[in-house]
Parts: sequence; C-alpha cells; structure tokens
Amino acid sequence: MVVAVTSTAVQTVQDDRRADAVRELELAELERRARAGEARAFGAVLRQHQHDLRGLVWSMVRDSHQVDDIMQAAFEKAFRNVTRFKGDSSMKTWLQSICYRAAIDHIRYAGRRRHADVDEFVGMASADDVARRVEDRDRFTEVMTNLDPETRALLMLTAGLGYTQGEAAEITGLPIGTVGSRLSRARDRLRKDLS
Amino acid sequence: MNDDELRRRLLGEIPDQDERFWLRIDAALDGIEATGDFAGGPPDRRRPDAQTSGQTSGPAGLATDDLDEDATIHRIDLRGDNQDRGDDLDRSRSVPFRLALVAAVVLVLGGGFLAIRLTEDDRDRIDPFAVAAEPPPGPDVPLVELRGELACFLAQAAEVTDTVRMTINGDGSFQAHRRIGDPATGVVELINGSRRSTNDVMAFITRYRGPVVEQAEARGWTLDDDGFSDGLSTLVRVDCADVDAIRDDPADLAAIRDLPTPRTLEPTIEAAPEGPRTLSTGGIRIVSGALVSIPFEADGGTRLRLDLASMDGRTTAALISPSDLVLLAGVEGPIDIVLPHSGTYELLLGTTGDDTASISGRLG
Repeated sequence: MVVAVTSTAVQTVQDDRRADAVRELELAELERRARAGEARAFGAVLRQHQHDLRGLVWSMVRDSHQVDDIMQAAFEKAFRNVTRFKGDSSMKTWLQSICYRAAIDHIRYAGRRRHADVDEFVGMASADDVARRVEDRDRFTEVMTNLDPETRALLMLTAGLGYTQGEAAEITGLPIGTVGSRLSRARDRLRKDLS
Repeated sequence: MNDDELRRRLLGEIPDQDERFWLRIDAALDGIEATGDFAGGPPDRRRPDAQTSGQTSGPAGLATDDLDEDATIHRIDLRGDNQDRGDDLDRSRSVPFRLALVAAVVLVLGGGFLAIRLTEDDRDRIDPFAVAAEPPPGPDVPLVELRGELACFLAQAAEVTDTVRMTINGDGSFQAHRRIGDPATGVVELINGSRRSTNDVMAFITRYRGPVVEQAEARGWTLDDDGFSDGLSTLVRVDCADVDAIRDDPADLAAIRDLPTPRTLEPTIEAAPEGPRTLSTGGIRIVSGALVSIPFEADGGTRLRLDLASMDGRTTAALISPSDLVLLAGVEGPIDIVLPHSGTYELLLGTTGDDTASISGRLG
C-alpha cells in the first residue's frame, strides 16, 4: 500500500512537472511568435503575465481605471517594440519594466494619486467581517499610500510577487543597493505604522 | 506583519482584471499589427497597398506636434491652445494624400452627433478633410446608425480626437480606433480618450451588438471576420440625441434617423477700424439633442481666437470650414487656429444636457 501511495505521488509530481514543461514550451512558442510581431500571440503572452503586470501597476497608482489605461499604453508600446526585444532578460521582466516606466510617466504626468475605492476590496463576508476587513484594509491602504510609488512597486515586486531584489532592480532601473535600502526602510515603516 | 501577511495583503489589494480590458487590448494590438506600426512590422495584411512610412499628413485639428511616439501616453489636445495648429493644417493640406482607409468625422459632442466616414475608393481624389454630410447612395456604402446611450458613450470616448476609425466585426462588435499618428501609416489607437467611458463603451458594445448585426444585415451587407464589410466603404453615424427615449427602448438603438437640424444663430461681429474683429454671442440656451449653428465670415489666413464659455461645462464646439471640413471637434475651451480658406465658417455647439454657453473671440 505504501509503495502504491508513493508511486501515485511520484506520478502526480511527474505529471505536474510535465504540465509545467508543456506550459513553458507553449509560452516559449507564444513569445517567439510575439517577437515576430504576431498580435494574438503577444496578447496571449500578456495574459500569461497579467497578474504580475497588473499587480505592479496597481501598487503604484492604486486606481483600477488608471491601471487599465497605463497597461494599455504600456502594452501598445511594448508591442510596437517587441521585434526589437533582444531577449537579454525574460519577456516578463521586459514587460514589467515597460509597465513600471509607464506608471512612473503617468504619475509624473498626472501628478495625482488616489485611493482606491473601498468597494473594490469588499468581498462576500458577514457584515462584521466586512467592516473589520475594510477597517484593516483602510489602515493598510493608508500606510501603503503614504509610501512613494517606487517603494510600493518594490514592495509589490519582492514581497508580493516574489521577485528577487536583483530582478526588482532590473525592472525599476534602480541600483540594487537602493532597492535594498528602500525595502528595508519600507518594512520598518510598515511594521511601525501597522503595529 | 510577517512576510506571509504582507504578501497576502499586497496581493489581496490587486483588483480583478475585467475581461473587457482584454477586448480593448486585443483590438489595439490588432490595429497596430494591421498597420505595421511597429519595428520591422509586417505590411498591412488587409490593405496591401497601404504605406507604412514616409508620408506625413494630419487632418485639421490634429496637432501632429503633440504626437510623441516615445511618450507612454499619447495625448491629442483639441482645446485650441496649440499655437501651431493652424500651421499644421496648412502643412497637412499640401501633402499628397494616400490612405488605404480614409476616415473623416463630424463630431459634436453631447447632444450632437458623430458621423464617421470610412472609404477606400478613389482615395487619391478624396480631400482628406472632406466630410460627407449624407452618405452617398448605393449598396456599396453600408450605413449603420447608432443613437442613444451607446452613441453618447462613443462620443464621449472620442472627445479628444477628431478622427475615428470604427471597425465592425462579423459578430457585430465594434472596435473604435482613435488615430494618433500619420494617416498615411494608419496609426491607430483603441478609443481610449476618456477614462471614464472606455469600459462603458466596451460594455455597451457587447450589449448591443445584436441590433447592430440586424441593422447591417437588413441593409444587405456582409460582415467578415476581419472587421471589414464586403463593401469598400463603411459609414457609421452615431447620434446621441435621444438618450432617454433609447434608454426606454434599447431595441431601437440602431434605428435610422436624421441628424438634428441645427438652430442658426447669428453672432454679433464688430469690426474695429484697425485691429481684429470681435465676434460674440450672448448666452445661448442649448437643450440636449439640439445643435446651434453659428456662421461667420472670415478670410483665409485669419487667426481665429475664440472662447467657449459653458455654464456647466457640458457644451462643446466643432468648427466647420467653408468646404465642410471639420477643423476642430470636441472643443471645450479656447480655440486658436489659423483659418485656411476664405468664406463662411460655422461653429456648431452641442451639449450633453441643457446648458447655457456663449462664444466670444477675435478674428485677425
């Protein structure tokens, strides 16, 4: 029995790895076609990375409508330049860097930052639960909003999306030492303000 | 807060992606691919004779100096504060026009109308700025007219542009493109001028695609998959005059109706012995769905400086040349433009609701 269970577990892991490999191959093929200027393939690549891309832009502007506009502008710019993409970094990192710059440009242009609507945070839950979550999130939102957009982006990239500090430095164009010190200060501030 | 909690909080904040967003993106990317508007991009697969570079032109009112390919966010300012706009007009008129797709639009926002003419035939003869007040007759010129909420949303979404390309897909969905670059290269951008309306536009397009298909089929034209009808020309007129009526009867959305007849108002023009003439109107009461036409005479080369004062900011203006060219559309604030021709110009005012506006300005 033990052997059978172990065998099943091994099979599951192998299946997962095989599925991952297939996904990677599919993504690689999509990226190849995207780099040749194929719009649908490029769109499919964007969908593959949408969560991380959106998360980064969201962390900086914190308004879903602005996020949509920034991402559209960034995606169009990326597509216009995709045939020039040399592959020095992963396409995901390249897209992240374009989104980051687009958000920075937008913030500088608009000169405004807005809090997201509380409604966007409220899911299905009891009234008390909702109230507590809204209160918590409001506090978290307030603390986050008081950080500058670049620092929020660094937090999202590293603490939220799991990028290394080196990758975050590559995406944002900041020296890695700056990334480290900013993250350290941000964490101190979060710890202090949320305690 | 430990790492797991911080991660949960950060990721928990990210709002879900709306599928309508991807409709926008797909349409925008398709538009770029179709026009070959990227490095090493392919030629236009739909329009093999389309030029991809080497020509410069711009319609009246589109300040090409405002276009920055390196900018992340493209902006076209139609409020008239670009001093070079008149020069752009003159330059653009001298450039040979060669478009696979010629788009011209009359746009009066709010209670006005949006008419879009897309044509491929006789492109070398067509004045790039010519706007057909009425579509040419015949089965080769399909016509779709929209009115009501969708029309208003489209008009709002197009508020920063004067030229719109609309693609009607085989399933009745629309892709509305705002041209942001050289018409010779056909650079287009998904309609996105108004943040507040983009999603609404997509929602309405999804909601009302059925009536649009019915309308098209009733007119005997076939929509194919790549978004172009069998006919070479497509004219889409969007009339947002009767929002309330349509809201009650969405099925009537695509009904054919005539454009509203503008109410003509003669402005007071005073000519000083030397110096510019002044042009002014008193307060003009404009109701939703109505247009006010303000004709005035001017010589070619005259600089026109106008101020549109709107009581509650709902009124916008369009400036029409003596040859029915749309020089500016969607104007909300000051206009400063060199008029290209001598003759009778026309200011059209429209409003999204009842409003009182006035025009004052200088000629010369």
